[in-house]
Amino acid sequence: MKDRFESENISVVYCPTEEMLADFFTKPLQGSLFQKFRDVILGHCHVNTLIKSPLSPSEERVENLLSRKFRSGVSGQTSEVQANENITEQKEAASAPTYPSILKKGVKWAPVTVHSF
Amino acid sequence: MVTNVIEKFEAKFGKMTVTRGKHPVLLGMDITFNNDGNVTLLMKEYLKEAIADSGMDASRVAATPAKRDLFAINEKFEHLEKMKGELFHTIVAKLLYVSKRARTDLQLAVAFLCTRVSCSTEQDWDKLVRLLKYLNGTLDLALILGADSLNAGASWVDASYAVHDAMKSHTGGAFSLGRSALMCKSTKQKLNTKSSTKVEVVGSSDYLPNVIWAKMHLAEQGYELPDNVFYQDNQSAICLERNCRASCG
Repeated sequence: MKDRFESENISVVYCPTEEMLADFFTKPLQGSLFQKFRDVILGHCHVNTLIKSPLSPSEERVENLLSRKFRSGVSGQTSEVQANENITEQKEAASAPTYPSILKKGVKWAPVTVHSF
Repeated sequence: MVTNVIEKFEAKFGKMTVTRGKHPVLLGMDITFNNDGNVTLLMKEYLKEAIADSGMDASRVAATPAKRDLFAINEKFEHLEKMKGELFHTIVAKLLYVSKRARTDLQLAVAFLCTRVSCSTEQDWDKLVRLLKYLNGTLDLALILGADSLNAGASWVDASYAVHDAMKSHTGGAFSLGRSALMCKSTKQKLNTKSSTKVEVVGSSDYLPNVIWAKMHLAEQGYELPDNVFYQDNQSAICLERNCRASCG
């Protein structure tokens, strides 16, 4: 195989799972990933749309943190940084469930004990 | 030019029926040549026939061709009666034809059902009905074939480990020139392997001939493919393919 890759000038490249088109032919996919791959495979969307997939919430969070760190090093942009922080805090507040609503549902919180080793 | 070719054919083979134009119908496929250079393939009538054969309730639809447990086999289910088993075989064979042409999105489910035709059970029948339900909801979905450039090709290869009976694995691959997967493959692997990395290597070795074929096929027509990328999602498999024995631990 190595010989073939070299003689035919084919480059082997790593591809993350979200862009792995061949997953469609090996796993029974469901939901949005199924539709995304189906549209590409049947030619309704361009192959490049695979790569421009929207970031997942966790990736967005990391990017926010990174940009915040980067910006805090630059002087004269503190107000913008603060505004940005406020926005993320609001987002978190909106997404995180408030305690009373959970307690109403009857969830019992087990006491947390911290063992020291 | 085309008339000239047709005349030469007819001189050699006798009178033929000739269809010309931008919307021919060939072997159950409705082909449309679009003005933007793409070709659309639709097999609606053929699929309707398959759904009618099954005697399924035509109002039911599903979002995907298979549930998550597509590969799960439960031995407790009863085998199909002779008549129903034969019907199962016929419909699966019909869908196999469709899946290799206009509806490549069915390939995974059909590939699995094809491995079950000789010992089909009620569970397999349920999976077939699920597939037909999906088809029922997506009868108008067509395959659009096209290419962005004839200089850059991309192929994706993946494998899933030990999903079939007797610990056999499954290979999937696709090749594209920018729009739509031009050559797709979804098959059960022929040999048993002991690790998921080896499965990936076997998978790419299964699919590589297709890529080389496509490359040579285009080269014969005067289009060299200088930029050819082979996408894999397993780093260890990539190392093995790049370095051969040097990466074997």
